[in-house]
Amino acid sequence: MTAINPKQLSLPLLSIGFLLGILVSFAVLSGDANGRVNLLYLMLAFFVLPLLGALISLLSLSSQKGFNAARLMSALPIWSKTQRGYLHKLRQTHLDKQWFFVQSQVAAIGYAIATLLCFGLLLVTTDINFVWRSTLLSAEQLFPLLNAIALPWWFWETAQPSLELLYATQDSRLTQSYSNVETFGQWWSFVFATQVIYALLLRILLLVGGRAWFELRQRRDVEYQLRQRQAGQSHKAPEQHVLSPITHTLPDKLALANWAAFPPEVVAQCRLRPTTTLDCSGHENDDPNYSGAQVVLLKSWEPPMGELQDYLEQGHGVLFPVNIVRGEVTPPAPQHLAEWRRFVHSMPQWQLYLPSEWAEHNEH
Amino acid sequence: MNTNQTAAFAVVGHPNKGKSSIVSTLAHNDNVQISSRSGTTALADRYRVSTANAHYDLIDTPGFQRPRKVLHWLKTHCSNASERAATVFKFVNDSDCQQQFKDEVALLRPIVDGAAILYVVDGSRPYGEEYEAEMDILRWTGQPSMALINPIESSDCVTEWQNALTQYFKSVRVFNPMTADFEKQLELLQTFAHLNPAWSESLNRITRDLRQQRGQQKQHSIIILARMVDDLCRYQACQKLLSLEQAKRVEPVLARQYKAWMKQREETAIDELLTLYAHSQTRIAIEQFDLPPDLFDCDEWFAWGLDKKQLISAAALAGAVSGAAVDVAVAGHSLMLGALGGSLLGAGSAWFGADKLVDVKISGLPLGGHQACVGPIKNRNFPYVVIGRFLHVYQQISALTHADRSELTVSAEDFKDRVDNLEKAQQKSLHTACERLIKQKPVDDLESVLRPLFD
Repeated sequence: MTAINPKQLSLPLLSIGFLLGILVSFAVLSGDANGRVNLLYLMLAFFVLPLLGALISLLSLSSQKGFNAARLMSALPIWSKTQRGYLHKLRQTHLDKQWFFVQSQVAAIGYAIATLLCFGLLLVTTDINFVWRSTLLSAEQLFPLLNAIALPWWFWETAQPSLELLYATQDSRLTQSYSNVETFGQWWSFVFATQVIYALLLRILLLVGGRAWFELRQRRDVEYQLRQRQAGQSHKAPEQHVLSPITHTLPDKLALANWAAFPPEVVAQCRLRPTTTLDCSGHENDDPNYSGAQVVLLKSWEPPMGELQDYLEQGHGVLFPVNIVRGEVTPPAPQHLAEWRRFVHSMPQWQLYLPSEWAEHNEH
Repeated sequence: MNTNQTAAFAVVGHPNKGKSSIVSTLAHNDNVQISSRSGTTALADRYRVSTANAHYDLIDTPGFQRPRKVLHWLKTHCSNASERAATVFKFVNDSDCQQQFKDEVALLRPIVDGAAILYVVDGSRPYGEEYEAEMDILRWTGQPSMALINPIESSDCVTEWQNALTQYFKSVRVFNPMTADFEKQLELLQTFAHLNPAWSESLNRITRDLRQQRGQQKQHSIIILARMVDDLCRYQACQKLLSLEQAKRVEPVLARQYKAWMKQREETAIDELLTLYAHSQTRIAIEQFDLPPDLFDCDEWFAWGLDKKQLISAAALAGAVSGAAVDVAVAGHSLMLGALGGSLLGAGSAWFGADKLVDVKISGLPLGGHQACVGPIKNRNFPYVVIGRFLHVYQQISALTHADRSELTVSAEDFKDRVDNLEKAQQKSLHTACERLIKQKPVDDLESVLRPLFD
């Protein structure tokens, strides 16, 4: 019922993530007056934060409601009535957890793109000097961790950390003598690869997986399945038939064909006064030689069959369908009469007969 | 003769005796063409009834048109009883017969290919000698068979038919495809298993699957209702306008929009229910449902929701629950006055608000201009009315056979009894949920709350 393009909701979330990315990037990349930025801060913003976010996002799937960044953002009073309606629909269909997971990835991708753009921009326009400072950690302790972080891009030699580089870029605010200035820029490829892998690619993978899961759940939802079924349904047009007129007069001379095989007492009630009676048992030996008009007596409730049609094709006259109720001849039921009228319409040499006193009954 | 691994049943008989109706009901498929005009089925149509673990085929066949001539042909081409099945096979494959006896060839072919026979007659009309040729032909095929007496208009001649049919068929059943409920349909399916022991395992699996499917349909109906009642209780039509006069002018338009949306939402749910129970052709007859003409007809509300007495006790119960929460919060220091006060407050507001329908509100906007809003409905009875109406339609649709595409009627009084017959805890959950719905608060697991009403 809520007509909204889900992208209308993804875009604000992407924007929030993007803005957050720009803010964080400028905070950690702006550095001091000498352009020194702490590598460990960068690791915090481009490795720890995205990885922790991804873990929380994944863990949220195991919680009942799915508590994650996107759900937090949905609580902000920025959403329109239609957007809130869509969120309500998601909750109603129990798809909100999956949807918020997907949107968390969208926001995180926004964050990753912003950090990459900022980083790229600053690399081009300023001299970023990567240093690291720590009271507790030594280069030997840090190296295995950085090595582990760099495992996913093992093939990119220049983006791998080295112990020598760590020694060379260790900084102290008390000793500020820099022999080889170029060394301090060498961390850029490592930082860039960290951003691409942990902030961007990881979230893209989670987005693809989350989206597939969301769509699967959506397809399994009863409302979705019913809509699919409805789309494949077609309605049949109401039937339209042409009916023959009814005659209330009989030819003067006519032969009786008792097709219904009514007993004599029933035939007598029909008051037909035939000049002769024909044999019409439906077998091959029915009399084909009679050429005069006939009145064919029929059980009104039995539909016209091929055998009768074969018989009627040999002659002409009137058909007289009658109903029997407790041995008494009565007018045919309207639905049965309609069936006979449809049938007679296709037989031009025959008419449908009903006594005039039954006419009123059939009008009702 | 072939013996198929897949259970297959050819539904045969005179024209217009309800063969297609039987196929439609058993296949749960209302796309089977049913007509008052005889000869609607010109070819044998095979309908596969598939469930999660098995399937079987129902074959809707054209009616016999020239049975006496066909029997005559068979007799002239057969010298002794051992050749009868082979003669029928010859008849079906004879090119002259295919021209001359199209209908009989079409109806006998699936039988020759291994289908069991379900011979259908009308139990409201007397037995006639002309049927004997048809039964003789079927007997000649040598295939397992069963006769179904369909009392189309009445059961006046059922005994007469039973006497005649038992001479030709080992099993004779009375089955009305228009009224047979789900259990009767399964019962018939189980009797089919006796026709061919090789099929009994798959037919038993189908019966089990169908029962499970039925349970799922009920569960899905509850979901449809839960979503609908939630939407209807929450919906609000709003429009922003520049001046107060404009906002006042737009009020009736908004009210109309609001009602149209609500009506449409209810119809969508009914549509979904029809689709769920595979009644695609009944969709066109939604207007014919025995529903009150207008969801907003307040006079009808006490017929569909709760009556005033029930409403007051419901509000008291829901009020007591929220009052009790206050008592818990103050660790009983309120001397349980919270529950008592909540109960009295709830009952009072239910009484005074029972005739109140939908509010139109005009409010000023912080950045200038006005907003006119219609809804949501605050009347306590509203969720009950919506639930009551849906349950009414659910009862009709779930009991509707696929052959019956006519107008439907069920008593509107059922809902009140259903609510009264719920256990106290279930009643309390229902009233609390309705109370929350009317206040546009989310209800966790509304489906579980509604489930007892469907049992």
